[in-house]
Order: sequence, then structure tokens, then C-alpha cells
Amino acid sequence: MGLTVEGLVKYFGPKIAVSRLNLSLSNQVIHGIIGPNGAGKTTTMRIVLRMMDYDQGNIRWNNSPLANVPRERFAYVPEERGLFPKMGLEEQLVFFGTLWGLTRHDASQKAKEWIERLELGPYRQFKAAELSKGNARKAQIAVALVAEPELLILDEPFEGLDPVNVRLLKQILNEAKSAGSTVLLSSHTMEFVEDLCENITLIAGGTDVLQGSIQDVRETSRFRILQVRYQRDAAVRAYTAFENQYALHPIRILFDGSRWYQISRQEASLPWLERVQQWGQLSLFSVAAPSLEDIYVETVVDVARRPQPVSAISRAGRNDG
Amino acid sequence: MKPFAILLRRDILEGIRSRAFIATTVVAIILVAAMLVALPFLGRIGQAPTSLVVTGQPNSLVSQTSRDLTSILSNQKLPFVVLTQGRREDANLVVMVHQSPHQSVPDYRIRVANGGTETAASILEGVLQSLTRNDRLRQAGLSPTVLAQISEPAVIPITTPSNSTHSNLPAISAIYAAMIFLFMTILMYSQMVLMGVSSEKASRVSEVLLTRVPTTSLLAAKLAGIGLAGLLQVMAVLVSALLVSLIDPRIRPLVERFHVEGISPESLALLVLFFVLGFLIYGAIFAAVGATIARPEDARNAVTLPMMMAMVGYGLALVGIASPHLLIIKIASILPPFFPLLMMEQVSLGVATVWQWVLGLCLALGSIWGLMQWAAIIYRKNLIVEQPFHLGLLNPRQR
Repeated sequence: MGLTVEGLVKYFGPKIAVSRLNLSLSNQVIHGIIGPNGAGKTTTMRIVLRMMDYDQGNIRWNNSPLANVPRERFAYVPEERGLFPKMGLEEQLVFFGTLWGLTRHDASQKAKEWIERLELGPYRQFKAAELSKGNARKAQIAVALVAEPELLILDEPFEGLDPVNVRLLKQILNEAKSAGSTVLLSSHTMEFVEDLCENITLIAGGTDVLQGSIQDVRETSRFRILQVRYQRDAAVRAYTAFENQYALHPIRILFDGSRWYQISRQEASLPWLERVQQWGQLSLFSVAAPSLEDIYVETVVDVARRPQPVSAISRAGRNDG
Repeated sequence: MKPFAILLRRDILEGIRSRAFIATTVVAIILVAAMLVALPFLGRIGQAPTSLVVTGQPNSLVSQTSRDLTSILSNQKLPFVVLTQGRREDANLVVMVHQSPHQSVPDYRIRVANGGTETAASILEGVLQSLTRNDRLRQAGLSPTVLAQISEPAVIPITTPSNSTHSNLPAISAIYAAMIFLFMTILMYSQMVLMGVSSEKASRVSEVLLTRVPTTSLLAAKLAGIGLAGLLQVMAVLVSALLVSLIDPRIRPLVERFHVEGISPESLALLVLFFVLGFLIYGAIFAAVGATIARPEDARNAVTLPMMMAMVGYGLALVGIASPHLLIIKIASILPPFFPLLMMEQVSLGVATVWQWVLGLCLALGSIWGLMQWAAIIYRKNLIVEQPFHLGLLNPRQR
């Protein structure tokens, strides 16, 4: 159930943009797509939204082929703009509400509710071109939510929002999920993804390289983070001795002096506390699963080093679904 | 409401609410009204009759010549007025007459004065020659009855190549007007399609719309919406022209000279049909071109080709008015890019054959279908891609 994308392939001329990508979303979840620029995130979203044809693969929504799914079940918030520049905010929401199948009365009612909910009341008569970047972003989200879609796809939804509005948007997306919507979003800010999404898919080089719940992704990662902070008086000497002894290099040095080291998952079971304590007085010690950002960087760098087997994928069997 | 109807409504409203649309409508109404109000004055200047005065000796001969000229010029409805009193020095032509005892008929001379033309003098020369001939025939003993019979002008009907019994001049004026109307409106509203598509692409609202509606619906709604807004604008200008002509009685005779009463509802329906077909042909091309534009400065390069095509059509239509039977005009009239102007002209002049009409219409409808499919592919391919314009973007096979 939910969204299933299997073996998706998309070419732009001779260049492959999406290469045998798989994606699986259950219903009523918030799923994050992460990956470097040009990885194929937006292209995949546009294909799912039927804006673009694809060359190979199979896409299903609740077990139905994409071509059989009524279009009004999906809604989209593009990375920027996505509004009629000269149309008033409220009029815009009513227009998109009716376009997505609501009656004019219902669309008008919903438009009022969303304007209040997103604290856009003072700007209801403003044209989209007159809105600030943050308010335009909120207006776009209101446009997508006004007709309560089954699948809501957002491309970089937090772009341009201040911390207060980021919090508001997170709350709204969680409410949409509770109300029955499935949310698929992309973001470069790992903190937001970690905070909001149950599941993630990491796309690099046009294909999925990592997929699962955030907890699973972190737990099954092939490395761990060892965090150490020596007390200040003999800290430099202690760090140097410890790093030389175990051939470690810090991957991060924080402002409080603590250092992070990357170790393999197998090494995590070694007696690190005893090893660290040999060289000085500790004020902080932990061995933990890596953050999403660490996993992201590690994986993307690793993929970039691999040779790209582009020619292995046939361009035959193009699907215009 | 169906998505198509919602989009259509929005496109019409966006069209008629835009400042450019309101401004052009107001300016067009003012210009047409001003032109109509000015026509009687312009007509008076252009149509002023040539004045002439008769001088010479003896006075009785001068008076007789004045009377004869007045009678003939008025019978033949020639645009001359014979001055017998008032400011005789203002006359455009001066006829000098005198008769010497050894001459059987008077001797006439014509002098072109202020504002007179050689053409008017030539016409007057013919009239005076006929006066002299009559005098000679009378002196030869011909009775006034026989003379009157001889002088009676023969009725020579003029027919056009298509055996039309109508006078051609008003028809050609109306065809010129219809040609300019079609050329201007088709290009103007097609450019509005281009601007609409490219601005939706620039604002990326097209991505949100494409989530809900297929490309063909989006394209069809845009063409229909802008086309209907355009028709509304044309109607507003025509209604205002009608109101002005009703209010100002001086305009009615001028309008009547164009045989407006001869323009049937069928002719108007045909004009609308040619507008719709022309707009769909060029609108689809401009929509496809609009979808390929990523930057406003690309618009000028992108429209060069379809604009040139339309200009060639206009040039051929100008040739076609003078020589409607030319083979090149006949062939061009069935080709879709030239069909709206040339076929309208051929049909209006009554020189279009049935096969020509049917073949042209079939090709136009077929090409509209083909162009819509092509435009939808280009639209779908390019609406979400941003790159500088090049002709390759208009190739539906290029990916």
C-alpha cells in the first residue's frame, strides 16, 4: 500500500537522471528524500506527479498503476514560487481548491481556515508577487493542503522559513499525516528530516542508496561515533596520546573541546571507556549511532567514488505513463 | 466544475483583467470612435468637387456654355460644379470660350487654375468635345430628337471574372479591412498565449497545474480562454463603433458607401471561423514556443520564425487581392499557415472553388490537430526545464 516505485529509469538525452530507483512509502507517514544536488530527487517527484514521462519502471499508488489514479489525489509544493503572481492570496486558494475538486463554497471555507491556520490573515488580499518569501512559502503549502490530498509532495518545504514558521510547518505536516495524508518531502537540512520523518530514502547518482526508518538507518550504519571530552588542564596531551595510540583522526572538533571519532560498528563493542580513561580525566564520553548528517556525508562521498555503470541500463522499453 | 472549465474561466478572467488588455481595449475603442467621427470631415476634403468657371465672348455664348456644361455634368453625375456667381477667382478650372464669325462652332480652351488637376481637365475636355460634336451635328441638319437619341449613353454592364453582379470596390475595401483585422488579431492573441505560457513557466505555477491536469487540457484551456477574451475585446470595439455611428448621423452615409447592409450574417460567421482557425494554428505554435522560453529576452528570438510565416501570408494576401487567379495564390490559400487570410480573401472575392475550399479546410483542421499534439509534447517537455532557447527545443523527438 502507499506509494511504490520500482526500477525507475529516466534519461535526459544521453544523460541518465534516475537509474533503477526504488522507493516505498506506507500510507500516513512522512517520508524524506535526501541527496546531493542533481541526484534525481526533483525528477523522481515530478515523475510520480505525472509531470514527466519515464523510460522504465513501475509506479503504483495503493496497488493501482499510476495512470489509473485520479490526479486530484496528489498535490505538490515546488521548490520555489508555484503561485499565480498577480492573483490575490485568498482567490488563489479558492481557485486551487475548486481545481482539486471542491465546490466553490467549500473551497472558500477551506481557504479561510488555512489562511487563519498559517497566520496569513493580514495578507489575504495580497497578490502572490507582493508576499515575502516566507509568506509565499506558507501560501504554497496552503494551496497544496486546501483540498486534503492523499499524497502531498513537497520539494524543500523549509527553504526560506524562519524558525517559528519551521515549527509551524512541522506541526501542520504532522496534522496532515494524522488526518490521513502521506507526505513525501525533500530537504537538504538533515535536522528537519530527522525531526519530522519516520522514513528516509537517500538518493545519490540517480539511485536509492539507503532506505528505511531513521532509527534503522542509524542503527544499521556500518560506523559509530565515539565522542570524547577531556578535562581542560591536560586535554591537548591526552587527545594526542589517545589518537596516536589507536590511529584515530577526529571527524569533528566542537567549540567545547570535545572530539568525535568515526569507528566501525564492530569496533564499537571494544572497551573504549577504559581506553580513553588511560590518558586523562574525562568530562564526556559516548559511543552512539551516527547522526543522519554523518551517514549522508559518508554515503554520498562513498557513492561519488564508485564508477558509474550508465551503459548497463537499456534505453528500450520507454514508458510514457 | 470540470478542471478544463475552471482553467478556462481563469484564463478568460486573467486576460480581461490585465492592465494591458484593458488599456488596448480602451485605446482601440477611442481610436475607432475618433476615426468614425473624423471620417465625414476627411471625406469632405477628399471628395470636394472641382469648381469651374466659364469666361469669354460674347456673354450669351458664355451663359449658354455654362448652362450646357451644368446640364451634362449633372446628368453624368461628374464631380464638377459650375460657378456662375461668387468668388470666380477660386475656380479650379477656367473654360475660355469665344466664337469668331468664320467659325461654325465655338472655340474652347481650358486653363488649370488653383487646386485643379490635369485629370479633371481631361474629363472636362471630353465633355467639351461632345458639346462641339453635338453643335456640328445640329448644324448638319440633325433634328433635336435624333440628336438626343444619339447622345443617349449606352448602358454597358461591368462584370467581374466570377460573374458577380456586385460592384467590386466596396467588396475590396471590406476584404482589406477583414484581412488587416485577421492578421492583427491572430498575431496579437497568439502573442498573448506565448506570454501567458512563459509567465506560468517562470512563476512555476505550471508545475502545480500539471499535477492536476494533463498538458493537453492546460494548453487547450489557455488557447480557448485567450481566444474568447480576444473575441470579447473585438466585440467591445465593434459595439462601440456601432454606437458611435448610431449617435452621429453624419457617419451613416459613409458607412453605407461600404455596403455594410450587404455584409450578411454568413460573412460575419465566416470571418469568425477564419479567426478561430487562424488563432488555433498560430496559437498552438506560439504556445509551444512559449514553453521553451526560460528568459524574457529569448521571446524575441523564439517568435521570429512564426512571425515571418505570418508576414509572408500577409504579403501573399496583398498580391492575392490584385491577382486572385494566380496559381501561387491558389496553392498558398490551401496551405495552413496562409489559409486564414488567403482563403478568406478567395471566398470573399468569389474565386474559391469548392475543391480549394474543402481541401484548405481539411488541411487546416488536420494541421490544428497535429499542431496541438506537437505543442502538447513541446509544452510537456519544456515547461519544467529551463535552458536558453534554441530551435532544437521545438523538436518533439529530442529528449
